[in-house]
Amino acid sequence: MNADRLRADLADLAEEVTPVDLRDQALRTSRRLVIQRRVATSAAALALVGVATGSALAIRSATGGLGPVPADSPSVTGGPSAGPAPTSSAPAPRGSAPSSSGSPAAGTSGPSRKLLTVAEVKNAQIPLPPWPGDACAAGTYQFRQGAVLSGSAPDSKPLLLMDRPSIADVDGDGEPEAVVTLTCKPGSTSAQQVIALVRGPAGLVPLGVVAPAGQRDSQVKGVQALADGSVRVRWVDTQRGSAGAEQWRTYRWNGSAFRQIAGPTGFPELRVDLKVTAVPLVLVKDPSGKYLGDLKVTVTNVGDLAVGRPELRLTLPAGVGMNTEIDGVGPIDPGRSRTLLYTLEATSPIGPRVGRVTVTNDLGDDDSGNDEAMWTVQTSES
Amino acid sequence: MDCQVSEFDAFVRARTPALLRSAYLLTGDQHLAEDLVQSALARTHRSWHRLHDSGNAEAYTRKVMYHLQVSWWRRRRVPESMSGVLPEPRGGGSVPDHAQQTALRLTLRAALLKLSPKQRAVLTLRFFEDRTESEAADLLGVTVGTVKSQTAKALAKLRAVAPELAELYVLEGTVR
Repeated sequence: MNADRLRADLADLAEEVTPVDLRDQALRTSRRLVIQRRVATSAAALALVGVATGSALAIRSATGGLGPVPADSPSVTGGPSAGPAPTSSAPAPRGSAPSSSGSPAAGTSGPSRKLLTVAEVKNAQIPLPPWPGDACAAGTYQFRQGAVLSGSAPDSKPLLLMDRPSIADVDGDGEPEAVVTLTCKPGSTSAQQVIALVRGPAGLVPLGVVAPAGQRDSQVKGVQALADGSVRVRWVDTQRGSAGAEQWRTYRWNGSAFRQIAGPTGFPELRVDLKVTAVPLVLVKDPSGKYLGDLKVTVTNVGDLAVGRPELRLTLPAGVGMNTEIDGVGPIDPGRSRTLLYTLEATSPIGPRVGRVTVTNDLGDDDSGNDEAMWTVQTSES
Repeated sequence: MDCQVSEFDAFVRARTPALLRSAYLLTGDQHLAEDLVQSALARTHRSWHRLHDSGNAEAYTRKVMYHLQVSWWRRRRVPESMSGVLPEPRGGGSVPDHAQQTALRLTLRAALLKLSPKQRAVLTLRFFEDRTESEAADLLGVTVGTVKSQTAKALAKLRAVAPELAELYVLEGTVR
């Protein structure tokens, strides 16, 4: 045939498609895949949002309706270009402090010391560095009662939430800093940063990122800034949902950045891994003259996470047909197997031939080396 | 991590146009093609820490794309949901040659939609991506024999559903 003509016409047809940038869509889908892997993480995240939002609303209620929150515009006051660079650098210069309210921070003393309060931090205008994966834009955000809302209505969805600040002198300069956990877009795609904030001439600015943010399959559940200058961060493993293991990791400012000084550095990664095997078979002649036999395929979950929808693909050798319907494999828990029988048939005798069976799943497989098995089939007269 | 993110970004931006062209031939629809490519890229992103070292990211993405296309079709019977609306030709003019080429393109597109996803896949791999039978078999997870038979069936069906194409794709022996 005129293959070149077909090639040219296919190339011409392919040019109809409009090029688009799929980077953001791909990352969103990737995050959804992560969420599918985390068996019950969504529920855990929603519970977290519920607690945090409830806390913010309760404070507003106590201060009389909306309190100091203006209802005119969203609280974001800067875009990506308005924000400062990421801040794991030298401490920002100190300047005069805005008047503070509420109870003074622990660990502060001395007549010249500017008190830093929880209330001041939770209502500060803060320039934030970029978020991992572009979860939220870098920029200057005005917090009200520990939240930045996405709209002007009081029940607008939160864009950023701040957990209760922990205040101590973490850079050893004699003045207190606030360490906060910020959650961007709380909910299914939330991202977190643990940041130390210091007073600059114009208000609070980041001293540095305490803990590497955006760590896969883990979540920050609390921080403690201690009097000795160290910062303890409580992490929880979310790979299995809300019942994951917890770790305390300790960080310290080294003059230019925070570095971890104690505790484990991560959770063991849980793997998705299915293995498929098949047994060689002989098709035996039955009274009708056909050759029939059962192909035995076993799928084993040798990974750490349950797989909900494994799929099998059978490739039959020439001369062999399928005599049964292919059903779904069904969910397989870690360490468990499923064995399936497929009745194959041949209408005439065949010598040894090779078939193939492949297992796939929606979560992706961390070890593709055992996703495929070859098997042999031949006929026998008896 | 940041380095890997930027490497992934660079990969996506460099290779998406080419992936989209193959996906368009597989699906016959702009939106389905975008969906297919971004789904494959998402899985590539999940495995990026392994792939960026091996340098096989594009091969992996294409393999995922072809597998997804066939498995989506199995689950959803996509051909029934394919848009019958043909996109406006890009940059099309009113010159007779253009009109002729456009008509041919529309005929080919309509004919491709009448093939099975696997048949479209083998044609795309063999005649658009210029893959060998062995490479196509590997990407699709089938035997070389299946690639051969599906290719033959696909070409026969093309000729059957669009006789006007048969004149252009005249049989002259086997292809490589």
